[in-house]
Amino acid sequence: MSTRDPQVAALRAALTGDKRIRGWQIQRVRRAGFQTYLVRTEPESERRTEGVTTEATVFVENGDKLGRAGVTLFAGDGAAVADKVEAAVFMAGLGGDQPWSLPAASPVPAVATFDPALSGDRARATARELAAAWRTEAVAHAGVRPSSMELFCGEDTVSLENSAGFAGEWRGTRVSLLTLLLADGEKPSERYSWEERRRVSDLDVRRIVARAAEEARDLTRAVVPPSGQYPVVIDAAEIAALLNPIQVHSSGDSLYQKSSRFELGKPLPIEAKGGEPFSLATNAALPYGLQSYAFDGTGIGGRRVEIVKDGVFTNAWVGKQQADYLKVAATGAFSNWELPAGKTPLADLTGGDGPVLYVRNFSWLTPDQARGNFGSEVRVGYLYEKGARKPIKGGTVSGNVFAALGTAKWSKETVFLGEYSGPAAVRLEGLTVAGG
Amino acid sequence: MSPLDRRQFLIRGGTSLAGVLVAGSLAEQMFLASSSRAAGNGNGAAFPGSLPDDLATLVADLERKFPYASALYMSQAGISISRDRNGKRVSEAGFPSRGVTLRVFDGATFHEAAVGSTTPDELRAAAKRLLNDVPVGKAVHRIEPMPKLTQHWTTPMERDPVTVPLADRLALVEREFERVSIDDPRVRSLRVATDTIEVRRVFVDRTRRLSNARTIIQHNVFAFGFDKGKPGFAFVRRNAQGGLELAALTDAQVERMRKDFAESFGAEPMQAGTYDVVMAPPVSGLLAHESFGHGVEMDQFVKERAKAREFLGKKVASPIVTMLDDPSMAGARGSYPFDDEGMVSEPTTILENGIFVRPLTDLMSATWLGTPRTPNGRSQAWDRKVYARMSNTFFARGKSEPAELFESLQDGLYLEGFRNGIEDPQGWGIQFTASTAREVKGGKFTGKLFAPVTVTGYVPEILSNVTMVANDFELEPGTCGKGHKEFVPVTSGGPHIRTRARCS
Repeated sequence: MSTRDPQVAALRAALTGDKRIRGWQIQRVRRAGFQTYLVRTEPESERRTEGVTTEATVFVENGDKLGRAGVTLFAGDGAAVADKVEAAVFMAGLGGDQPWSLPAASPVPAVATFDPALSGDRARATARELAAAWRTEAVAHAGVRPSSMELFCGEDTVSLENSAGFAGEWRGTRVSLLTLLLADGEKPSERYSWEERRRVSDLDVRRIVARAAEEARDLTRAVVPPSGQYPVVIDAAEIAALLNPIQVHSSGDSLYQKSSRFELGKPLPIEAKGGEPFSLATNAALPYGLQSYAFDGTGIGGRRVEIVKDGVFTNAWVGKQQADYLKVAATGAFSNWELPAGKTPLADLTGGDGPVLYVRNFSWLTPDQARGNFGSEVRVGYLYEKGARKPIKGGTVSGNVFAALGTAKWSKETVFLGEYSGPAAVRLEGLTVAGG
Repeated sequence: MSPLDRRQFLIRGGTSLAGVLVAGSLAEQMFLASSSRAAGNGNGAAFPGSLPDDLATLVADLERKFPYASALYMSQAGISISRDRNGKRVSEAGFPSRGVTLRVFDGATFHEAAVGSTTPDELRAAAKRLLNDVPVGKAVHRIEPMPKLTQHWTTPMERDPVTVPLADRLALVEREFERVSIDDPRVRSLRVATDTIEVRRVFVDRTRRLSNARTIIQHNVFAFGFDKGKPGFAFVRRNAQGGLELAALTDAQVERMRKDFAESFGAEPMQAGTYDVVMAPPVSGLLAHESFGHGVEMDQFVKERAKAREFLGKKVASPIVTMLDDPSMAGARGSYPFDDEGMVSEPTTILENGIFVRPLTDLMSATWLGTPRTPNGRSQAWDRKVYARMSNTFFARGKSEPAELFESLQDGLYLEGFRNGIEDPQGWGIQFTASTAREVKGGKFTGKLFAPVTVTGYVPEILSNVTMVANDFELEPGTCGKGHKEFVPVTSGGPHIRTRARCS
């Protein structure tokens, strides 16, 4: 924690000396970044951003409840510290939840989240190198031309301290690349790609552009899939979105609110229908994972947490407040998705004589979190039938996440996509394809 | 008043709890006053402090080197009050932010320095970096200054939140919690939340000094439960610009929430197919927004990714379809008096009697393509770029009574409530998700309910299939992304419409 920051020092002094306050937390986040925008290959705009926010949270006893309120200070707010603390104390005194305790002092785990190439003055130079690489790749593919590119390079420095003795700081970097390519043909098409990583060496510009170019070209002759019920293989890029209901129902908050369909120690409501057992972990210590952290917003250290093992709900992911209520150990916020490798080679997932639809991307996959029902348009896919592969765009795939997982076959091959580490694809049976 | 003074006052005030409350009213006044000062003053104020003058000085300095410069200040702050079965909370509303973007145009490219500060030293340092780092390029384009204007706008409201003590505002939420409670053993959780968001903006360039104090009320009620292991829920809200008069559901909304909750347990998955449908205003608005709205954001024309570019002046929809974007509508969540590039709001007719007549622009796309600007340059916050964006986007009223649309539906679906949607400006595909579909046979509901329902199709086909447009009108609040980022508040809506679409 930066004790040298005068605003934080003033806040700490005000909070520590106030007898009305039962507990407090100060979080300071410094953000800096460099943004580059190209239209075709020409610069449209360049932006440099920088800012610091300091959030103070106070806890005040209100009868048998514990009230909590937060206030934010920006650069130049030094003179407002006393007023802000008064406002926080007043607001906290109006409300209240069951009491809980802040995380105590603990060692901050070393989690790899920082790339110096994206920090400080180097961010601009790195951005220009990446933009140059993108320009080269974007004009290198026959039948495809660049539409636009957006590139964000930046860093966050997060400091946190609380009245229970926790103090820590960690730095994280991020590089984000939006690629838009156009292809002319029977049906003029575009391909959109949004890729984010924590370090530059994990962002493979050549591979990203090559894949987008291949898909843009393929889409010029894409058709809608045939209607029916047949196997659907879903690419790793969509697996986290598909599993969102699992994330929601496995949270400590859902358990506490009694809105979860899961019970700790019991199988998930998945009826096995020939699929491989489902396992899931969330790993905040995954090196260079996009959602990795040294500690979460209340000071819980980053770690790997097994959520589901062979279909059984083993641990909820839970912050400190709900952990105290549920009388379990806090795990910290949900972070990166980690799934074990499956048993089936990727090539076999699309095998067989009958039609198999491989979905690279949906238009927007947003399953109903409560029920698990979903339906989404195919933005890019391929139909495999009798050894041939046909590009697909349009039509919808619908089903239920919990029902489909009982049939899931996961690929042996694994990929790392920033916040997802796991099988390259999953094959699901019994989904409905509505197309031509 | 120093903190020590206030603590002494507290001690004199009696018990600690009462003391906090009494002191709180003082603290609250100070907090609101300091927030107003920091965020650019409250309702009715003119330009906040010396910031417009400071920004004008910086713009003038920058224009000594560059052909065009501007400055935009944006801040957001607010209070969130919530109540559920476990407790109640009063705190800052999410995502407070405050900062300034200085922008220069070098003749071909925009360069911006965005700083999370309003201190003169930091703003001067940002301007200096632009002056030092950015060369003046070849003059490829020219930005024409707009007519001179100095003006301040505030949100009209009946009950200004600033005038109501926080304890009274919490009491409003507690009363609402009791009012909307559902006497049903299936209910597991019920939550009422009222967020009051204060947005401040100042735009300065060579000819303009514009400022705006906007108050947004977000009032949400959510109920969740299980019936024999099957989940069900209901979500109802009011979300618009105004005062605390918006911080309660209407009686009709309360009734609707209870009905939705009871019915939600019986919802079945949708059977995929192509159906005749009547879309309720939130769904017809989603169709307007996703089908044609995103596709006519003119920065997509510059990037050659908008199929609509080929259809300017041509028929793309049924002749009974007219569609507008209007950021000047009073009180709507997506409204603003001027856009983030200093253009004063006015309605834009996008489709007129089925003909595509005008796209939505930001400064960049209008300048690059040499077309008149529309007031649609918007950014998520001071640290994000401005793009061409929608505001309040809707189909214009038609001539049919809403009941006529139902009665005409012999075998089809009534689509209600929206969840989300995504654009496809190049392919003119469409995907959006409605909350529910009710089966209609012979002009009457059969009682069958499907949820959720994904609507997909080809934009010109769905718009050309519109056979009836009702004479009612309703706007639904939402948040719009550009792709999967850059979120801005919007509304979409219009009348009931009848068309044919693929649902799954």
